[in-house]
Amino acid sequence: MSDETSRASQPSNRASQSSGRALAGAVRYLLKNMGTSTLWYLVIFTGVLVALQPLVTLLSKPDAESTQIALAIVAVNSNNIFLLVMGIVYPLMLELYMMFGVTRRQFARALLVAGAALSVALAVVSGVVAWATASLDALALAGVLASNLLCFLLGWLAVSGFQLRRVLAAAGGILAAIVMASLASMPFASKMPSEILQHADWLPNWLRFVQEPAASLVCMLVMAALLALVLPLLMRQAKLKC
Amino acid sequence: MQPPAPSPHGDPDPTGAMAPPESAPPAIELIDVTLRYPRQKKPALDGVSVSIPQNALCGLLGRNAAGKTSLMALLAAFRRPTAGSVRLWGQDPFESPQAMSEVAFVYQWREEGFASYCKPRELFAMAAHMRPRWDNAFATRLAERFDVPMRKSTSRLSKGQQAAVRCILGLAARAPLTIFDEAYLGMDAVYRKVFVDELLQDYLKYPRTILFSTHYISEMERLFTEALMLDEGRVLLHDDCDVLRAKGMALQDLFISLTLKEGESYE
Repeated sequence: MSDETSRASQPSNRASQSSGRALAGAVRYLLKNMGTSTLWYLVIFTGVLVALQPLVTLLSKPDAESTQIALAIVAVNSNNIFLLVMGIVYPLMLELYMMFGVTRRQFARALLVAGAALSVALAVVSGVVAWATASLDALALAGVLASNLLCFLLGWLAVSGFQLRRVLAAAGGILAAIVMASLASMPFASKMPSEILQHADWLPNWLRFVQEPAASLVCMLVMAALLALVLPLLMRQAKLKC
Repeated sequence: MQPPAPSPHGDPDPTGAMAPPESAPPAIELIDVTLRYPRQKKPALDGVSVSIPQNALCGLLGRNAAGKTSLMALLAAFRRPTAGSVRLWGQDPFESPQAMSEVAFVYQWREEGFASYCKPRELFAMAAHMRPRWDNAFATRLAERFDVPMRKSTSRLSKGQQAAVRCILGLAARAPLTIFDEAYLGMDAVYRKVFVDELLQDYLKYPRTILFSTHYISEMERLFTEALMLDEGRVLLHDDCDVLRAKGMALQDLFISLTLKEGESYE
């Protein structure tokens, strides 16, 4: 029997190599796919910013510095929304990847790796914008990175219940994502909610504590770590329809 | 986990495929498998026990809602049995990276699924990234034979071309267990013939276990080495096709006689 013939019919004396290839392939393909989407997003976003900048300057007549700071904030928020959408869309591709022999766990790992890489890449973009405008310090930049990652994971959390094919799980996933997003965004909220928080006696002390930037960073990282642990477990229970 | 044994070292069988050694574990083993879907009274599979040897080309036959797709979904680890055990080369395929990477499940994906939005060339690229035995040259040659446009999203292709894309994904993957679930539904008679010829040639060159569900029994029965018939989630018949042929039984006639219900007729 020729080598080629035996290669095709042997189920798995190369099994571990094959499964490793599936995981590496999934990571590579996800990165490639997400990278392409991100490039499109950046091109479109830059175009929109360039188009809007004269209009904003004309209408509000702010000083140059505050316009640049506003643009940096818009950039950070847009990145977060983009990552939230990516976090919603990509986990739903589980069935597509399973068609190619990837397990649920491998796909979840690949998603985590790709999501983390994307978060870093977009934090670097925000960093470049911030460096140009000198509006973000190192701690805030770390906060941007953490919020990027958290947004991706929150998007994933929002759709994780749908993959379990249970109404309560689907509703619970969305609700949990909204609650966690609210908690995470409180420290970065504008002054008004912050003041409300300071004077709201009914709020627990830990919520006042997260008003500190460093504490809020830790808070977001803890949430991200928790989600990175829980989401692959939820994905393992995903039911596919065919 | 016990790694599946290398398959064929035995003598070639009359069809030219290599027979596995007798000690090799069966490619597929279902032991008293039951599968229930939520809010459905009748189970999709009810106490199914089947063993299919390595390198068999097994026809999975049954009427609509007999449980064929459910059985295949279990083998591809898309679902888990409610009761009983599923074994591929002696191991549970559910969440097993080793087993999953060796199984290619070709089915009619849903129109709203992501696969419908991918172009054939993107699907082939994914297969090249993730399928360890993917033969890109073979896939390209098949795409040319089936006239598949590579740069159109699959949802914009004709039903026959969509079926061709699915069949190419199954054939060129050369997975040790390839499962075709109504894979060529939508193809015209000429393309179905092309597909069957390609399948047979490739199977003889690269023997592997193939489970093939189809309603076009008369077109496929000459290829099958085994036939497995399901009816209402139970095994109706599982036999060697050579034995059936020796008894002078045509698979299609046998299928009709076994599955015809009271009050139904087939001329």
